[in-house]
Amino acid sequence: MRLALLLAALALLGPFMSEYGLKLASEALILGLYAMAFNLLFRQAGLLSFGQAAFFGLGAYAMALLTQKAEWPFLATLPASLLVSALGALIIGFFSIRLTRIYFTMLTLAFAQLLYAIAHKWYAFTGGDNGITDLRPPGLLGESLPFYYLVLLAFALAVIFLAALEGSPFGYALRALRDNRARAEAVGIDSFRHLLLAFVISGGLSGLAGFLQGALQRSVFPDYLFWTRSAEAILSTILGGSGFFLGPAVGASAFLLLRVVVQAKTEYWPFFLGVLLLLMVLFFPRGLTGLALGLIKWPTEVRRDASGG
Amino acid sequence: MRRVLGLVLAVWVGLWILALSLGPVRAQGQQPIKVGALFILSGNFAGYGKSGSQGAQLAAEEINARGGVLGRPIQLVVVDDQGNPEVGVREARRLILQEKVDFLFGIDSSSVALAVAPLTDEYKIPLVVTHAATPTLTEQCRPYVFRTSNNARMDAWAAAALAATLPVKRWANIGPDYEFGRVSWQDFITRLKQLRPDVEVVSEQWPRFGSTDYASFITALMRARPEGVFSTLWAGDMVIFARQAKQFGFFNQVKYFVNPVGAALEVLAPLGKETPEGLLVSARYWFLYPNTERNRAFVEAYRKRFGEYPSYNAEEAYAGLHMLARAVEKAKSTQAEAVRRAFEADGGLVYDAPEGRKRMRPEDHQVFEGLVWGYTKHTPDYPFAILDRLRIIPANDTAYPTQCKR
Amino acid sequence: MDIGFYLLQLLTGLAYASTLFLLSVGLSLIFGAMGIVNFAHGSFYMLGAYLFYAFTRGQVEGFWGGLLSVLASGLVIGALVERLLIRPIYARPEEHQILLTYALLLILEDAVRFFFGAAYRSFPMPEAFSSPLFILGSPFPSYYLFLIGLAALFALLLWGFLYRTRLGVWIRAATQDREMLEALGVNVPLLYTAVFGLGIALAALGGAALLPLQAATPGMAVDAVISAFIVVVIGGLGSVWGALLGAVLIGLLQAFGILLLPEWAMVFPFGLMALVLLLRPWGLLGRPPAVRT
Repeated sequence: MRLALLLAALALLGPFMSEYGLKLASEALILGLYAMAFNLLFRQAGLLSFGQAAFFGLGAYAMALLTQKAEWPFLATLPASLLVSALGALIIGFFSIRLTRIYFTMLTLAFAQLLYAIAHKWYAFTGGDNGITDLRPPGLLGESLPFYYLVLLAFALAVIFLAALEGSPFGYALRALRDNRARAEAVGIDSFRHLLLAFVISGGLSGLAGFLQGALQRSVFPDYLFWTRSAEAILSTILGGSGFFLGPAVGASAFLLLRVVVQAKTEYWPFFLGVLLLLMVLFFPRGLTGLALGLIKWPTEVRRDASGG
Repeated sequence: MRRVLGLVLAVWVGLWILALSLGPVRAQGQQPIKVGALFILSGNFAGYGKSGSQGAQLAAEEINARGGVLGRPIQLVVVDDQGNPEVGVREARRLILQEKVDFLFGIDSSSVALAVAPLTDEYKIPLVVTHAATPTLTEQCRPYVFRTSNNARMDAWAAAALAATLPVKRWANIGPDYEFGRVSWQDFITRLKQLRPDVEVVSEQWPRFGSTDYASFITALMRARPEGVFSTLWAGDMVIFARQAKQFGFFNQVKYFVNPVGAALEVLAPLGKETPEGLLVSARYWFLYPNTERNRAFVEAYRKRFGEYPSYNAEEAYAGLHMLARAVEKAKSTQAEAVRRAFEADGGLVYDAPEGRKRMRPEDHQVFEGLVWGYTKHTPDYPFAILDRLRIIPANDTAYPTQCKR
Repeated sequence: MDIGFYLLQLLTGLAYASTLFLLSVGLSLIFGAMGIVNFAHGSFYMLGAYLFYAFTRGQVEGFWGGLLSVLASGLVIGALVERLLIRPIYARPEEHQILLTYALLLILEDAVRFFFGAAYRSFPMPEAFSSPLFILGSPFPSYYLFLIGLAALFALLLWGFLYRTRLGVWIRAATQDREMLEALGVNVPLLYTAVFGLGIALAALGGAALLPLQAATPGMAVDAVISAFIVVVIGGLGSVWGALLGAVLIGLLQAFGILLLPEWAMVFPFGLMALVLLLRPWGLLGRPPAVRT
């Protein structure tokens, strides 16, 4: 499979990358993972969640608190991060899935902001806006190359899982719900349970991304829960093209690369990003992947349908 | 479809390889000493970051004009950390790994400083902080983190030392609801109670950091009838609060309004002639004090270069870079260990900055210095309020005990 | 029972509510009529403040003229933005519209920083409002009363406009069934341009009117749009009275909440928003979304 080739290529590239390159690549893969988790909800289920930061942050804080306060070994906190973020998604999803469209989006945003406010205020537990620092994994994983492989492994497993999901009956059910909820329910698909499960999976994967990011950046702050973090997942996805399976991952890399390069040259990165987004939305709504395909003039294939219902 | 996707992905990977193979070319020969400075250059606090980077720039120019450090010129690389810890870490990494800087410098935001600090241990790169004020930073006792500006605890202790001399028993607080506001108040009132056990707290107000409407807080505060109010509202918050409070007659009722960061030019300038008089404020550096040759020369040079008076962040960055240069000269090296020893030796490195004498405490790498406070007053000479009836708090009064050992 | 104080606190709560209302009503209007979540709403509010400062050059004599100029500019800018940027993407899914307005937020933030720099801009208090009113012995700034009056005036004007004029009827009809409206021969795109222009003008005017009691800061847009969202979500997306109710609730919650729980001032708005979303997701005065086949 092409996917396997790509992953192998990324793995082989590892030892040749500079230390800085490894950090950037790790960050790009983490952001890609996060964006792909978002796109599960967005492309497959037709749900625009503006609160993914909540799960990203939960995963990060779980890792940070357990390693700093309970002195757990780094890798042991991984299942805890997944569990905590999935649980958070279960609770938030339980309330949010009932709503549709903009109200769903608003509620997910509200929950994420609420979590942010709690993390910010609860100094005793979370350190407030001083955050939790010194999160470098001890031993081998504290080094750039082994950590890169860990990230790559996580990314690979997540992507394979998502691909499998897409082709499974569950995936078909989600898409049926996305295209015409009334009809799907009429044939017996329980929309609530399916969407909630998708939400939980998405949340868990976002938590995995947060877990990795916290370790990479050596610290966790309430920022991890702020709505602009949710926006990053959305931006990456749209930039890369939400209609394509790996679109979000491509978009994430492009977003990160652009940000690093542009920020090194000017302090007007927001302006640059804004103009880019504007152009993308107005002229290239299918994202970079769509743009590339258009250039190569290959016949178009599976494109995301407009959400119904 | 698969073929196309593969092509796209190949391009993606290719992009990466290309991007990552790019890096700065290492020039041989007269290698400059590179200092990577992180400041907030965008958003609400951009004014402070701008001052800081300007002060650093002036210092770098002066140092290079006299031949550099150890015969090498200082090259300042200034980046915008946006006050965001993750951006700070990413940019710091870029500075260390791509730009290959010898030192990290500056940092306005405490959370950015705390996020970047672990990198100093990881990469053995010294960090000289000139603004970020959380006491936690130096209380972490890291070997390669140094702070040449005063921190929030020193400010709070200075405020307490002053407050103890005032005829005030009923104190209240209005501060931004985040670590800086909380810890400053805690430090202030704890220290004040040590010096004056008879004081009582009659009200505490905690508006959200970045609030734009303080009316309800002002009236609630006034109702408690405090004689003195302590506040660490700063930047835009302080500007807005001052204007609104003035409208309520707050400053007529409250006899003493004490704010350790209220004399920042970034606050006094926009308030202009509307600044209430008689506010007891400080700002870590006040350009009109001391009236020494050194300070006047600095203010003059800064004004000539940038067309404005130096705010405290400018002077702190200026002094910080000079102090770093002195440490490197003393160490005869840019190696982290050597620089650390230079900062710690002989009871701590001393530098005579425009604001006065700075001495670094060897245990926690925190500089201690006299702090100048004054009462706001309007004069025809300046378009903003200046400080009158100056009160200088000596370094000893702010030297809180540290948990660090050397 | 300190009636004087509670009255004062009520007024400060209403004052804050007025600032929130002026900021948010345009957002609600735009969403109601066009279905667009305008992330750049706070940016136009910020632009209004900076333009007010620029037009008057900080001279207090220019106060009234400045406000009018900002209102007019807001209408023009809003109409232009709608015509050039939003109209092309009417038919697109909502995430594209959200992204477009988010892009505008980014662009405007840097544009303002580029043209106006990083320093905070203020505006002196106009002579007419410089002496406070005395409420049962305590001073209360008269400018706050002006703001409360302005908010009330705009609420009434908007209500009159939406419920008593033909244009208003069309706007309300557009919130319910755009296709039908077009079928009836109304030039809906032009209507949209007008509504967007109006919403932006209100935001800009809000920014300008608040300048004597606040400050124009480079980062104020993001903060403002979050506050606006909270108000509008509580009150009901699309409802002008909802925006008023939401603003009043938040204002009063802050004014009286801090008397009971001063530690938690920061959490009040989020808490209220979450509560409303859980119990009545379309807002207190909003309408449940129509089910479309």
